[in-house]
Amino acid sequence: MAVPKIICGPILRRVTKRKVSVWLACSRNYHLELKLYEGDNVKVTAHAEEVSATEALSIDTVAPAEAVTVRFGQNLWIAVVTAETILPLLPGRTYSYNIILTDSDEPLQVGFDFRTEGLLQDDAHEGRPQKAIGYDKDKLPTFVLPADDPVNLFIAHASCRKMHGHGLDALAHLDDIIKKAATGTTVDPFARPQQLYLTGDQLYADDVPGILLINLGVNEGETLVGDETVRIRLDNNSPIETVDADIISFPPFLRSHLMRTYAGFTSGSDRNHLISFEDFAGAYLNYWNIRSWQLDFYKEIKKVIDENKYSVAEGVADRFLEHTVVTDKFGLLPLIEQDRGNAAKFVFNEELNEMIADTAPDGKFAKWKNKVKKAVAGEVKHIADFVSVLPQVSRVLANVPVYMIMDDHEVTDDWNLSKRWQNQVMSKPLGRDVVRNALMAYTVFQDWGNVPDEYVAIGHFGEDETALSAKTLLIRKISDYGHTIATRSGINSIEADTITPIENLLGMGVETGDISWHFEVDTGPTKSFVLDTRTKRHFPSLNSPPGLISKDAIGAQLPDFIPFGNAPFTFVISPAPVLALQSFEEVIQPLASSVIGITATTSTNPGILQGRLEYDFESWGFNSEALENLIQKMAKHKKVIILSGDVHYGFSSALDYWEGSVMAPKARFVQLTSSSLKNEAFGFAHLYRSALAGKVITGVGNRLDKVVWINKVLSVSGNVSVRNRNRIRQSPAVVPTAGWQPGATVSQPPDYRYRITVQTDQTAHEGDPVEADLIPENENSMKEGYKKIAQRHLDNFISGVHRSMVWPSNIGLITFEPDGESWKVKHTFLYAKGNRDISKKDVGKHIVHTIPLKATGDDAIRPELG
Amino acid sequence: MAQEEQNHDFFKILLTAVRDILAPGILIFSDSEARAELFGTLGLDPDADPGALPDITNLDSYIKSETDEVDTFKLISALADLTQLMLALEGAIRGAIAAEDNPEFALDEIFGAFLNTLLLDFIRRKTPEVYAMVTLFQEVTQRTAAEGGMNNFFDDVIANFFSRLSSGLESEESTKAVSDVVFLGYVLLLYLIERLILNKHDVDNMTIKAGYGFEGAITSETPVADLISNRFISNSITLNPVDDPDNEITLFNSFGFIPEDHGGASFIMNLSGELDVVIPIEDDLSLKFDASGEGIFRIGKNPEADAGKNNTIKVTFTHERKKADKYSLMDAPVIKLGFGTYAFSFTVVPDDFEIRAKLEMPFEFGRGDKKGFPWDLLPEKVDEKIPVELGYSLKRDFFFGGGGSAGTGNGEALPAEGGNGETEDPAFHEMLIAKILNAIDLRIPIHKSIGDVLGFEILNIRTGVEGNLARIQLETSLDFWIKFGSVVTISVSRLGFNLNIDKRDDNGGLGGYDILPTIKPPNGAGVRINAEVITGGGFLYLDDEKGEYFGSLELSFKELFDLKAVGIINTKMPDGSEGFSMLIIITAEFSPVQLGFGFTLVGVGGLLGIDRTMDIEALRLGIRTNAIKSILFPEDVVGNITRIINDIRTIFPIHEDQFLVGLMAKFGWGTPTLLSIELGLIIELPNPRIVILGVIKCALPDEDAALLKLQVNFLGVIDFQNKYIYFEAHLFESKLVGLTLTGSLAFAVAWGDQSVFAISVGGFHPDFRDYPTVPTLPGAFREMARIGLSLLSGNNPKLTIECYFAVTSNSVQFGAKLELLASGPMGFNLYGMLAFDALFIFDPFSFIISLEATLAIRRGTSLLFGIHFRGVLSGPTPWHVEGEVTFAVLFFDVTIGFSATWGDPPPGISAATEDLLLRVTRELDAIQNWRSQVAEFQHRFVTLRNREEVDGDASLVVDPFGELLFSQRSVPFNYEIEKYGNTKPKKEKRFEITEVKVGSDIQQISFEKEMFAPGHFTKLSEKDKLDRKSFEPLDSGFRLKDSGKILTAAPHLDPTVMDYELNYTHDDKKKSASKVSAGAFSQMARSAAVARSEISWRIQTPGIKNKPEDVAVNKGSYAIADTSNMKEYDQSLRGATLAEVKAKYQKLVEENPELGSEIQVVESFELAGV
Repeated sequence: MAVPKIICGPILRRVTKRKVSVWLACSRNYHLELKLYEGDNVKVTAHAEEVSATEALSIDTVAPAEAVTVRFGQNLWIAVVTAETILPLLPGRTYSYNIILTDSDEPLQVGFDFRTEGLLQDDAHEGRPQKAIGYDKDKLPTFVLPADDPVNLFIAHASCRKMHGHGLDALAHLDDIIKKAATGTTVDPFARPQQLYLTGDQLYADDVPGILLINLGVNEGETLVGDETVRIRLDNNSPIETVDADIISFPPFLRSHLMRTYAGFTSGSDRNHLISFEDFAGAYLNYWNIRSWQLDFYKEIKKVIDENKYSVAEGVADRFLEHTVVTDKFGLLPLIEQDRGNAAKFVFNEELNEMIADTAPDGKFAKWKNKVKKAVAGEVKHIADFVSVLPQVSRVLANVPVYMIMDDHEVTDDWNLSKRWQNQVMSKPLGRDVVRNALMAYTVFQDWGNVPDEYVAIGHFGEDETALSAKTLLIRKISDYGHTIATRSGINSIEADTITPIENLLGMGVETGDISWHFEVDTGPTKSFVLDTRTKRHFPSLNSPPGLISKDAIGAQLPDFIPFGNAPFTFVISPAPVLALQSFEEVIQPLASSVIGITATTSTNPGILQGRLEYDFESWGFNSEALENLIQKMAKHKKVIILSGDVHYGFSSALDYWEGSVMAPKARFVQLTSSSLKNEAFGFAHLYRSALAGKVITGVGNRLDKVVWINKVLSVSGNVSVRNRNRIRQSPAVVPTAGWQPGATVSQPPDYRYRITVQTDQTAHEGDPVEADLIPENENSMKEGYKKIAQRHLDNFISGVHRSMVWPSNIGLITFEPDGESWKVKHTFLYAKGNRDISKKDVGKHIVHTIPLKATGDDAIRPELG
Repeated sequence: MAQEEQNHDFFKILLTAVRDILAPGILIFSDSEARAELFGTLGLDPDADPGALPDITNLDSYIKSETDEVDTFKLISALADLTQLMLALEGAIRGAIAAEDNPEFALDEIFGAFLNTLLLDFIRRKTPEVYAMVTLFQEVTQRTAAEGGMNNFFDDVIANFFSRLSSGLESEESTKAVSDVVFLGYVLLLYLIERLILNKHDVDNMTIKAGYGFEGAITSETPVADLISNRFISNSITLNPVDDPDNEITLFNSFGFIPEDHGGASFIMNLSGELDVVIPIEDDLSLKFDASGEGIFRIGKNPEADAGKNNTIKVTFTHERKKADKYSLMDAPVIKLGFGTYAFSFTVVPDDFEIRAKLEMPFEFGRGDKKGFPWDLLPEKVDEKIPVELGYSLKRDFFFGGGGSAGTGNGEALPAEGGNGETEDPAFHEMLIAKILNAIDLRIPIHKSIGDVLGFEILNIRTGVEGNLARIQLETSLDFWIKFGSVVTISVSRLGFNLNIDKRDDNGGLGGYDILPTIKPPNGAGVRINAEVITGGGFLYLDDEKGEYFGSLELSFKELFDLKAVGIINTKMPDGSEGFSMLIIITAEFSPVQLGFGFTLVGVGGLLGIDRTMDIEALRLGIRTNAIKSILFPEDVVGNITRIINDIRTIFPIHEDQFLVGLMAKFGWGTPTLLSIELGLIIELPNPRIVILGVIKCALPDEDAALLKLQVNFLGVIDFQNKYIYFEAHLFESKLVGLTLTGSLAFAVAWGDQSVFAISVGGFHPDFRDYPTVPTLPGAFREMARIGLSLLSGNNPKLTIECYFAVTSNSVQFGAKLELLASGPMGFNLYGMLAFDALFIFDPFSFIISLEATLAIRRGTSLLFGIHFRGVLSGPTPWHVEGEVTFAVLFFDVTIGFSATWGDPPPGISAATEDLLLRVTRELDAIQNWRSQVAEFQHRFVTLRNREEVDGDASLVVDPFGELLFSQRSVPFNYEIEKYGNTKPKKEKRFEITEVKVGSDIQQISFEKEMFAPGHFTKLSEKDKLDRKSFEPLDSGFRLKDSGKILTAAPHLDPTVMDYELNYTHDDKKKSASKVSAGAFSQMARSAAVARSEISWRIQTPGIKNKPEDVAVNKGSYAIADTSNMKEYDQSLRGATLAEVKAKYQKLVEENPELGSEIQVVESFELAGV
């Protein structure tokens, strides 16, 4: 079987009223032309081998919407093609699109399009199943612009999608919603999401399935990018060595020691960490489209899909380990036996050598093999779940404008966690190489589509080179890198020609880079500001928790106001929840971070991080200065809807903000968190899935009041605990009202105050065995009532539907209802609830949080100290 | 048994963990940058320099040492290093605390948080799973933001949970608390099973899930049900059986508690599915699930009648450890404890709910590589496995079992709970821990002997906790015996070692605790000697905890003499302080030594008591119970040791600075000895008391077949301090030809505040109540046995004859009684009685004689046929006779009574008069009524020379610190005198001292009292004469209170001019002398001269320092009460003596005769509402 021409995409990216951009990855070099059509139901017909024709009204563009794929490796060609329309596109209408591809090298050949490439039908293509991306045979994929009237606005958001993560892939759930809205008799352009925000961890670079690592390339052993190398140094006094960055040097399941010791990484599950650019690129492709899957690999997984049995999964694992059946390349054990040259000393530490040397039948190696086998068998079952709905996911990505922002896992767990982390990783050549490869992939796979205008990937004759944007320079250098690797021409000077310039652009060099990853986009009546919380951090000191965005950067990322009209609200996208983990603000916090930063190292230098770090320390709440900056900034927008992810559960909360001495709240932020698409917090399933945990994780009861002073010299009188004294000494001084001793006073009134509340679902849940309440005085009512409660609890446990928190894989849907002059935002979680019969997947809108954008009732009463 | 095992040094493991916990902290403090940053973020002074941390080489080298055996010396150095380190860390933080903060408060908060953080981080590094759970739990409380959740996690969250637990399943609220703990714990357990057992061992065919709680909508229409649902828990266990992995089975259940006020207490469960599977995790690990049921059932109150009978859930985790881990606790002797196979189980059956843990503890004890005495005595190696079992169940509460004779009931509890007088209430969790630890008392029978030379009997394992976990102790000890040939056998009880975990005052040591292994001294040791010449044995009992050692020895030197010794030593005073006190009794009995007149000396003995006193009252009781035989030539001292020691403890209690010396002799008369006299003389010093004890025994014709057996126990006391002499004797188990002889005799003379003279043989007249009282001997003269003889042996028929004779200061009394009782069938009996009592009272003279006789056939006590006579004659003014004769025949009885009075009427108003004023004046003039006395609270610091009488100058000189006293015995003051003996007051009837002047100054006084006979001054009824006390204390004079103005004589001292000298010392030079610590100072002060001063605190407060006030018989007072309700009529009418109040009563009644029936005189305790 041949490698498909289109290996990933189309993915609909930035869509505005005048511009539509589509991202596409191919296995060869092509010329692309994007065609837009008015209407939904656009059917393409043609004879085989011919470019399709359509009856629909074509939309005129300013210039032909053309692009050429850019080379990023031997078999990796990617393009973002943008169509600029002459007349603005309108909300409430459906538009269709097609791309005509012709071979760049042989432009006279007949081209092909979605239909001829087989994308518009449900049949398998080149051995891999797929779904017609237009929902019906031969129909084109469609999209809708965000509605101008909030009542028709429909936004979806989600985060954290791990191929072998637990749970179903909730991104596929969105497919049903679009299908319903786009086909049949119920076509309703407002009933489908008009924008999809992926708010981080689109990829788990530090934790991919081991079996995927040896199947990342294209088919039949052909490499995707080429023979890459990485630089490693034993220690500061040793020379830098160059090592082939492939699975022979770095076999799956053996990468931990390498990543921790020579890259300085701190991820807890790093035995299959991505290293090369090819690793990252291949992972993205495999995450997004089945067409990029190696066919043999898919066939192995298909066995598990067809027969969902542990024994079958075990068989796959056996073959993965023992020999070359999965692909015709390598099995894990033959890989281990390979001579990996100078890489060996970096991969194997004493422990690993000892393990491998112990070849007795019940020796360490045998036990390790057994462990790996079980791990792979487990992974394979989750991969089967993933790939069985991957065609639906690809279809979703083709039918909704998608915006993405990175979180740490795009690079590695704990990325830029602290200054110490940065120093540790950036001082190591391997650390730099992996971070750079990750960011190169992020540029090409994610950011390019967010802001296609900032990238002019291919130069043209006579352009003003001095006027090129940083991102243009960056993507061209990345392309140079891919080209050099693919062709080997200029390989000797690759470091000076491409790697160093790329690092400089990314700010990994001596100077701060110019690249900014944040962006903004129009969302109907308002704008969405997507924040970069990863690369513009402020590190107050070596070990302390960072401010997720420095004060300077926050000005650049979020303006004080929206430049047009009277936007009813503002969207802000922050991967890490802004209003979360409030309870960590205490004396322990600096202490804990110091200790964790320094934790048990055998070295005399305490500046080495070891062990797993907790994502908890990534919270906005850990650095009050940055959090307060953001709050003050957002308060200027008055009504803000924050979208976030990261935490592996879904919930909604609100913050009301009072300024100065005014008694009425000035602003309300509503934070909608949806996480994860596919990475349920399985390890904590028992507790996390209980109602108790809901209360626990959302912090202190359901509300938290705080008062804040900015840049004030304060004095206190009365009994003030040491902890509060310390808080008062900081700037900003942030003091929770809970625990403030009555009678104690502060010399000046607070500059502002706020309250955070956690939202619960208030709708009645159907099928509750407890139909009437229990009457404590009535003996029979109590006796029978307890029985019903025992039944209710079990039902509730099995369904897993609680009211505040959403534990299963989920995607958040955002719509609006009028609320007098204001609006209520409705946050609906789409997910599959549990069933005793696990084969039944009851996907639905099981939890709805309806939150007014204006505080009422108790929420509007100002918090007071003491 | 060459069992495969893994050895570990327990302390090394412990110290390694602690070192590991502290490691990041040490790094932070050693790195100036990191330290400054940490201090800065905590609001501390970032520039504070804590200086170098102490050297911890000893600690590190202990941790790194290769050996797996404990080296006690090195261990102590390592612990010392650790303490230094902790104190240094604490000091560093203290040094950085800002000046304006409360340093102790801030230090406490920050240092506590620092240590907790290090501990949490350690957990995070070692077991991230547990850490993740902890971080979840730490947020459970609402106060997290306010009070800093994580740093207070251990103190607040866990302890708080436990304290909320204590209410049980009473109400919704308390049930929520119980459910929070029990179910979250259950979830945690499931979680750990999954993470640490299933995941760790790659068991992937089982999935466990659980969820606790329920969330209802705020607008819910079922708020009550929502609240209840919120404390329910559900879980599921999904299994893919190994042999059929694709056939998935899931067991679901959901359960909760029903509180009492909801119709419980019960437990309700909804169970569906069936699971009976053993999951072999590895060869030696298995997890067994056995659950079955369908539907909802409840256990406890109101169970379902027909549902759930077969529902059970049982989860058992077993780890068969072939290779036991052993932890070395001591190297000489070798002691190792460990753990081997263990199992945990959780069971729900239709009537109970149980969590249980079973553990096999290997135990090793041996001499190790030590050689020579005494190590050779130890076994080379004892290797045993001890089964231990503990758990909690609804039915059994906390239980602890295992071993052969485990249990909480045997033996005294190891620790003295709260023995050190701490009053702080322990937290609930501490109580719980204490409860569990105190329950551990294993006695494991070994019963092994090695070549009949060495025998191991019992292995003891006990744990104990003292006051608020201030000390935790683990005892491991052996009961064993050793034979030295056939001659000497030594048996030792509970010799072993203790692991003491003591709380320190500071934060040093190991988490504020010191851990030290110490030798556990044996509780007892016995020796048995069986040589040709000497036979016998002894036993030594040691109670290190109480600081008490006692023992006895009985040796028989062949045909020479028998030596007996009993001794007790205490090293702890009753108040818990260190001290020393001892009492030894040694006796030797030998072949009779002739003394002449047939008397022989058969034994001598001695008694020595240091820091001991005598409890005369106990001794007095001892002559009745024969307890004095424990002192006088005790018999079978080994066999009776417990009783003897108990008697000694009671009779000779510990009293600092009192000493006892005693001599004993045993005489005999006749050969063989017909009469034996045991005599003891005990002298107590320095408060002198002399006690004579004696036992006179007479057995005729010989002891084995005595026709007459007479034993008289007697006691004589001369007490100089309390000013009395007392003698008491009792017949003990005496018989005459099988007929019981009884009787007692008492004699007392007292000359202190209470003047007493009395002698009684066989008791007192039955109507006489004015028993003589002897100071400090409340039981004297009470319950005296009549001199009596039972003339018929056996109980039926019974013929007894009794008599008595007594003389008191105001009376003579005697009487006799003969009684016959012959019981027949059906309750019929023949009863005869003849009794005679006579009582003569001297002042004012009167007598009463009564005679009573009965002869009857009765059924029970009702008369069938019979005659009864009773007659009383009294006199002399007037003479009076009264009586009755009753004849009874079946239902008829005839009573003839008589009463006649003749002779002189009572001397109403005597013609003779007495000039009382003159008497009082004379008394005032009599110099002997005036005394100078030094008050008890005054202390003379000088000794005054006795004043020589100059020319018969009898004038009174008052001591400079003394008081002037006047007291006379002729006329009571403040008392209405109706008569004066048989005369009548001439004029003045009442005398009062209203004021006392020295010069022109009126002086303050207090009244003095003397004993007066009220009958002498007041007219008493006949009944009163018998009932009332013959003497009562009445005001007799006054005591002049010191006002500094008494100067009745010219100063006899020559004034001396005092001169002085001025001298300068080099005070400006800083003294380099080291400061004496407070402890050392008090130690030195204890034995310094100042402590010997009579005003020293030690002398002033002997014995127990904080003891409650001495219990004393209230001197009592009298009051006038309203007859109808016994309420006090008028409080101002109270008085200390009956005479006083009676007088007031009379006066009231005289003024208002109607009151006569409304009020009465009572003792104040009889008043209503008192």
